[in-house]
Amino acid sequence: MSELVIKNLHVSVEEKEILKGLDLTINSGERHALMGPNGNGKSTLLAAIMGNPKYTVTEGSITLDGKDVLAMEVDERSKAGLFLGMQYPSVISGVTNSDFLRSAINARQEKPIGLFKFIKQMDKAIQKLEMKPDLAHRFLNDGFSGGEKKRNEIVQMMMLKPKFAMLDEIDSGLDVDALRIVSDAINECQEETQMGLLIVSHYARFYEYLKPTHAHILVDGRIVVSGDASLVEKVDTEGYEWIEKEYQVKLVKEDKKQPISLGSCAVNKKGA
Amino acid sequence: MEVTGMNTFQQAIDISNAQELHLCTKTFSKGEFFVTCKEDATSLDLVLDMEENSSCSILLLNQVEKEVTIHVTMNMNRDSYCKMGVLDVQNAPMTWNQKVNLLEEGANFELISGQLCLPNMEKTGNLEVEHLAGNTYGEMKNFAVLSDEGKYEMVANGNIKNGCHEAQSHQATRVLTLGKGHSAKVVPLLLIDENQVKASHALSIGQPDEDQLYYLQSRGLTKRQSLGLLSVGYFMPVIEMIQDEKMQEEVRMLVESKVGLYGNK
Repeated sequence: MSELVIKNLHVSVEEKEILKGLDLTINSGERHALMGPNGNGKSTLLAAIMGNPKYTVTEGSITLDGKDVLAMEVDERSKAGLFLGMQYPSVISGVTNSDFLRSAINARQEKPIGLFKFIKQMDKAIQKLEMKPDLAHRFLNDGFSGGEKKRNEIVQMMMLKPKFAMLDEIDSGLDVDALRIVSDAINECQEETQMGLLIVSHYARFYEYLKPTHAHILVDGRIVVSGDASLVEKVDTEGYEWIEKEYQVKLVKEDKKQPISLGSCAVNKKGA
Repeated sequence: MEVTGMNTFQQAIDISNAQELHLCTKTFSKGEFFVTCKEDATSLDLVLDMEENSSCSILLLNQVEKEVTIHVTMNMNRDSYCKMGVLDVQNAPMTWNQKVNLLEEGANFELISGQLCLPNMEKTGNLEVEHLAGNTYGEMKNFAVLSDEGKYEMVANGNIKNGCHEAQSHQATRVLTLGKGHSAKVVPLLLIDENQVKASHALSIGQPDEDQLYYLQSRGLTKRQSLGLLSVGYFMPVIEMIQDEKMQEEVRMLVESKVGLYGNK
């Protein structure tokens, strides 16, 4: 049984505080749905737990089975059992999926994985995610569609078998069938490993497949409501505005970049 | 030493000390030369003469431990095809001069090189593909990875002479810089004295992408291993030229260890 504990977490990005004292505990086997309007800190939380250098933890603690996660390098966090399925996975030309995954598996065990065992495991994951058989030989996420990138994140999760997997809008870019395939793979992996899950998604259908045991709503850098799966249903039918009234919080509206007018140049105005 | 490729051939040649090597491919022959500059080699003068309608790949593997100078001259006749790979991950300086003469129509030359420049080691290259007939094709792809204080200098020249209609000259150089204090000088040249041609050059020199590093590290690879993995990608096009699977795996493991993929820090 493993435990991921986050206490009073404050995180800033470029001097702007995004998380303002967040508390959350996840145990093995639990499935936590993390919801909230865009721009309120969901992805920031996941990135901070994984150790993305763009995010600065200014206060608070994260522990994994009592060990200080914040004192670990990014790779150490992964080896300790954390996994982040990213919203925008990197494209890395020149590095094949199989080389990458083999290196990642070997990085966390004393003895390198045998080639036959590796191929067997990878084939199983590729088949489960119904991906093209040549995935192993393709460069990492290079030329992948949005959906393929997300499925590839789950392939990696299945191969690395983390204690806790964080999935950041892993359902975006997936069509209806792919959503079912990915959900089945996540469910199967969790049943096999008993990993804890922290899932960020905007869509109730994804949560219907994954059946969260806990649900939280994150507003302005704090978790303001926690409950069970019924919270997902409520958000799906009523949106987030009720939270402002019931919990006296203000939803952060995401800054939308406005198009910048470059003005008009060399235009002859009549009469000018 | 003289080696002639006839019919179908596969020749492995080891170079020691200072040596001259004359390779020749006969008409309608097809095969592979695998030239290894062994630990004690100091210089190699290589001449390759390709008769018409012959085809070969030539892989030059550098294993020299001190310093080596390599001169290559290629003379390619009608409809001959050569794909050349140069792999140099040694912790030793290398000076490499090469002149490719595309003498007759249909001559087609492709080069892929991968070089690792370890601390204070200088690798210099001066390459020219000269088009002396129409409908000839020349392509140079040079990849290099520089660690702290590594030095890399590459002049790649595609030279199309007057009257060489429909000749094509292409080149690309990609340099990955790791650490500090390195020096990379790349001079892509296209000297074109004919209107009816196609030519291109591309050049990139830069540090590894921070997002890519983070992504690899988030899967458990140390920073050094991540940099190593990114570096290996620069050498794979050459390594993949090795036909023998066992040897390919050995060379690949050698490269992976040189770029720090098996390091823990």
